[in-house]
Amino acid sequence: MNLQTFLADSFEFELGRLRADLGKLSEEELHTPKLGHTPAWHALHVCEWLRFFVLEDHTPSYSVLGWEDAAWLPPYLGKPPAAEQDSKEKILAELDRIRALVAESVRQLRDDQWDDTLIAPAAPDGQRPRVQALRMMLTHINYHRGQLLQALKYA
Amino acid sequence: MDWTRCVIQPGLQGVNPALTYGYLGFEQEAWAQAVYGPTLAHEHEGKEKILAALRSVFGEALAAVRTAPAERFSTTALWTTLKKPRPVLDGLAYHLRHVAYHRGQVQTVVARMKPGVEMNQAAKNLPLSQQETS
Repeated sequence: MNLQTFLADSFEFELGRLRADLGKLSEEELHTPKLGHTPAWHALHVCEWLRFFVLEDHTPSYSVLGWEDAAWLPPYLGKPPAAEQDSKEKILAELDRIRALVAESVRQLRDDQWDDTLIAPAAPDGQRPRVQALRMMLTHINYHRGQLLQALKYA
Repeated sequence: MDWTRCVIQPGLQGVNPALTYGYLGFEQEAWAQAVYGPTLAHEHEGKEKILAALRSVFGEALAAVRTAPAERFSTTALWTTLKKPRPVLDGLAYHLRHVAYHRGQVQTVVARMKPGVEMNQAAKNLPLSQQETS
């Protein structure tokens, strides 16, 4: 096993854990705000940022990136593959789809692609090295899983 | 802090059997009970003392990662844990995500405690704006 496989496996593993936690929720629980956001929002927010950075989809197809007051946001807003009010089935299907695509995308990266600079609208200079973006995207999953489990436990 | 002390030691060889911990969780488990004891700061202590302990532990952990021999980062390298020997890289990466997991939890609590701040407003933008500063 090499580090590329390790990273791809890590994405699969953590998205799998998030999927398992969300899978335990009822339709109503998934759509009930807890300490701020609904569990559906956390799920799709993670999906959307993975789609933006790992799949490099920059089309106007985002709805829950956060950053509502940022000037860079409006050009990216549009109809997403799954929206916050969609059914549990549809939201989990989107999570599964992104999980598979992200793992595959990381597995397919060529050696010369690791040093690429990616579009990162929230970064001070609007870009990030791919390795840094991948690291942030991996820990971003756990950051939101931590929020979600905290909210479900105490709200 | 305690999991960082437990997981990341100079040389990245694994757990230092001389250390005890106060906040590993898993209170019902024999392996956790066996290492329960004094730690560097306690939750009832002052903010200064707690933050100083965090700075010290996190600083030493980063130094340990930066100065460890290259063979420690091979995909076949193992280290000791409180249970059985495990791959070093797996443990390091798992711990990195564990830190992010608890930072997420801390943020929900902090956002809730800010007086006069609407929760949705406070929770908004945290994930990536936080990372801008890191």
